[in-house]
Amino acid sequence: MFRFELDAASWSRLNELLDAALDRSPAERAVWLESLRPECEALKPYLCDLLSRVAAVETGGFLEALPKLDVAAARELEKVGVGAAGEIVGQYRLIRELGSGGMGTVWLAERVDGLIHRPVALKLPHRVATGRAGLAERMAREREILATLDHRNIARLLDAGLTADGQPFLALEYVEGIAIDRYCASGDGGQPLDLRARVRLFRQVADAVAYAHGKLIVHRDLKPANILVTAGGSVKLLDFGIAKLLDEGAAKESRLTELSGRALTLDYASPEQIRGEPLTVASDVYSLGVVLFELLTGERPYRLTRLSSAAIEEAILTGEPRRPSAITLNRELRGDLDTIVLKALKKNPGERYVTVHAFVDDIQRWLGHRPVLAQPDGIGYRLRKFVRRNRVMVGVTVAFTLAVIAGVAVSVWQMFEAQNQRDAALLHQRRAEAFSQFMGVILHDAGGGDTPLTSTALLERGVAMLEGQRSMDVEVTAFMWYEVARSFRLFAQTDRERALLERSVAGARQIGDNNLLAASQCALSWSMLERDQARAQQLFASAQRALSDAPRAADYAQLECLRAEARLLQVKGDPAGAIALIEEARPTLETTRQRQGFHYALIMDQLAGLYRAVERSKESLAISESLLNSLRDNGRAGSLAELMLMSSYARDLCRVGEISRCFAIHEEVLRRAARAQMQHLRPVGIRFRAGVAAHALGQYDKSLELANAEIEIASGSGNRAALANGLLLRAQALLELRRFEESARGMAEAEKIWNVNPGAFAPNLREAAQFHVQLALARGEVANAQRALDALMSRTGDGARPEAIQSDRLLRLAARVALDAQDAARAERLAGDALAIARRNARDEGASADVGLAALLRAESREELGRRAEALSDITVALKALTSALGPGHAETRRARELAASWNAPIA
Amino acid sequence: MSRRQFARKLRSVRPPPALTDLIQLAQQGDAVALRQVFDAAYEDLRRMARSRLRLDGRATLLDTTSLVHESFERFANTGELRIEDRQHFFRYAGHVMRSVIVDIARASLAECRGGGAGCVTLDTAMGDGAASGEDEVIRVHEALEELARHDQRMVQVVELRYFAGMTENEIARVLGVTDRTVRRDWEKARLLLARSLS
Repeated sequence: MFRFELDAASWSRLNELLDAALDRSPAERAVWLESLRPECEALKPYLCDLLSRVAAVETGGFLEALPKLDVAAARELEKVGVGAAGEIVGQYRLIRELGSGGMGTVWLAERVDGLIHRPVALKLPHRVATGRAGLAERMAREREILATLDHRNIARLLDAGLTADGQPFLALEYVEGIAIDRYCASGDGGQPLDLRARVRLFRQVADAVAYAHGKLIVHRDLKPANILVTAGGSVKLLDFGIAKLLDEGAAKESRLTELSGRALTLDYASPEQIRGEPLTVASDVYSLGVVLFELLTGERPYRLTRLSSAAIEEAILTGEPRRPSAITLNRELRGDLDTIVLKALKKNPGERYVTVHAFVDDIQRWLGHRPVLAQPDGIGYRLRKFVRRNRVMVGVTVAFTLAVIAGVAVSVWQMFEAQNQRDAALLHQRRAEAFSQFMGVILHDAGGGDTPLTSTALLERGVAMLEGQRSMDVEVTAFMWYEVARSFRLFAQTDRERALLERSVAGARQIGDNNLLAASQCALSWSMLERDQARAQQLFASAQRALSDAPRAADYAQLECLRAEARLLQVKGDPAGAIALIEEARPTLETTRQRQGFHYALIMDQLAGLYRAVERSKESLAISESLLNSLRDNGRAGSLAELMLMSSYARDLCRVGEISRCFAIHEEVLRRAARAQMQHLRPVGIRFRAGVAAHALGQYDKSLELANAEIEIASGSGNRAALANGLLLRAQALLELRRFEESARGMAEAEKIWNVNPGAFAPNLREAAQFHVQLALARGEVANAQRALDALMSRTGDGARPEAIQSDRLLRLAARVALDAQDAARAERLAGDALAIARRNARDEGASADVGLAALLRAESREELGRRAEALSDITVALKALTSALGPGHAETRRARELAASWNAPIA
Repeated sequence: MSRRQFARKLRSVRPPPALTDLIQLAQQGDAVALRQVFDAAYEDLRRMARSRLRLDGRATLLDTTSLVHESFERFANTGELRIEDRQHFFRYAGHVMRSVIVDIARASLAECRGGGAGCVTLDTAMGDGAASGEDEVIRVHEALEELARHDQRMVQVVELRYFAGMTENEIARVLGVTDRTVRRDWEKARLLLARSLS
């Protein structure tokens, strides 16, 4: 194909030279050409070629007049599109014209090969620039996507391709019916349909649209003319996704086609469509709103002062739609139907129904005389208040609300600053909207179907959808990979998380988004830590560079990297440094804006975890308690996030020794997790933690059962750390149940996992060492227990260091070994140390099992040493604390009570 | 008649926006209005071109100039355009006419490729390879698409001169430039197109 093969600069130089040459007589030109500056040398051949044509062009009258045209063609222009009865287009023979319009001509046609006798509607769009590279491929691709639409209310796209001369054609299922607005007005028997019948009809329409959205296909041109009702009264949607197919097919670069492109059906266009922004499912929600409005009232939503496209556009962009009930004075419309329609017609896509499903649900509620969810106040009101605070954030809130309702913790975009960053903010909004739709779609799928999906299966389905989609650009998809990856992390699917994060890293590089790049790399660094610390460090360093290259570091990227950095420090054995790092950032984190965000919750949760790791359980308890309260204040009770926090909170209660309360909360967590809507979310760890509490309460059958459940889930998801924890819990339960062989085997398996990275799993390995002491003790091998204990104590520096992990438990164990070895004095000293630590750790001494157990041990030691009075004082403390923390029926409580009784202690 | 039916009836008789309004909107950069102007003009010109070709029989030299003028007169008579809109209308007419002619040429070529016997022209029968009128039109059209990336005005001049058959004087008035500018643009465009068509 012809090209002028010049860049803009050369073109303008050539243009000047040409002017200069043509200003001269032919005789002068030769001399002038010789004198050309050297920098024009490159253009000289081109210039000479052009000038050599001057004479021929003038004498030959080149392009002076249009050539003669053939009349045979003119006959075919009877119609807007090409086509004539009998003509063969692709595999089809045209039978008769069904109609023509702005888009082209529609023919009734049949397959030439007679393979299928059903007639088709063949669309011949007119005036499409031909010869476009890739048009055929694009058509084929879109055809493949649209062909997956298989719904009784959607007319199928049967075929699409190019005719011999490069004109596109589309073959659609032929539908005999009349437009829905006419059907409503005249009905099947000439009577107008009543309101409920109209709403039921509309429901069919919305159902079909929702179905297509599930496949990420947007209609883009919903209007009554595209919605037919058949003689049987069922709805058929025409032209699904075809607007896009044609828009893209008709190559945007050409001004000609741009000008002659289909005129938009303005009345049903959404504000974002008018503004020429990318279209999403929210645009279809809007158009459906206009259609519903018209079906209910017979009119359009806006009262227009002038009838011009500018007036319509202005109304759509800024006008307030009328209330349907104000038009027909039909009392049935007032209230819920008004609210439903107006919600769909919101200017801001984020304020509309998030998905068509939500729209349909409300329609269904109205039909069933139940209260609708769309409310003039309530959630909408809260959202509006939020909008006023920060206008661009709306899509974000919706995404978050949705995600949390669903129990999927998405990172949240409330946190970035919108001011002065309009472009970035808009991009974020677009991403957030895309993500909210994405979530809406995959979550709806979770609701239907016979077998409940696990959340990871749901996410996998989402991944497949993302891979299959064509409508989003990489700016959005790169972000989606990041978000979906993070969701996988929530379910501890680290392999999947890593794979998806690699994609978001690649995408972020491609679009040059340093914030996303840093966030993805930090997230990746986090998930690599347990496997490959060096690589994690590298990734983190690279993320730091990206962050400093970003024009403005976004909050979410900074927070993601802060978390990664703290975790790196922790894994390198510097939890105090990690705590200091987060505490340093804490004042800035604790602004109102930040506190609403999920990143804040995640980082505070991490801080709580660090405090746990250094045995500062009171601090971690305070954090998890406050997180839990703010979560409930934000209306997120009942979410997975709440569940996970409750689980952490309970664990902290266990750590400060309040075991009964701890286990009660764990049981509540397990009950909730078993509920229908949570069943598919199989969060990792909650069973393990509950099992630890059950174990402490002496309910070993229960803890064994929970350990087995945890092991099953962890193996299913390939989460080896969680698997090892499950194995540990099982080994401990089996030990108490005196199934020593099984117990030891399971423990060895867990140790193998931890020994892959002893640094990262140091606490777990210490736990394992304690287990071996207990095992030896339980088997009556006191000498072995002593040896194992000595090894452990030398590693932890006598166990007296306050930061030693669970050092009071270790000291108690040592005291128990000393007692068994008849060394009461040593036992008394060790138990005393344990009691001091337990008291320091406790929130309430009288409610701490650790205080009680240590006091009990010291009481026994003192009794052995013949110090009854001191023993009595200890046993009083022990009995009170153990009764509260472990319950009156617990073996240790009973033991304390028996001892107290035998010593004639003055206690009830 | 119910209120609703009445409203429906009202809407059904609502006239389309007057071309004058649309042209003004288009002048202000209203893309939708521009498309509507284009579509209205396209329909009218295509219909006239077709009937003219059919009346005249085979291989006809279209007098596109008179088509454009007639089209304007008709819009003015029905009140859709005012006399003052003439220049604006002509400004778009070149582009519209190009589209009409290109579509006719394409349809004609499609007919030939479809095996219509009437398609064998003297030129092609002689096998001397000379381009047919349809080929020329389409190749000019394609070259203009390329040229449009460098110089929009040059393209407009070609559209008005070649497709709409206007004189340099008329074009200068329509585009609001001097005769000399139009002449020079035409001169240069012809050289460029000659090179690209050769």
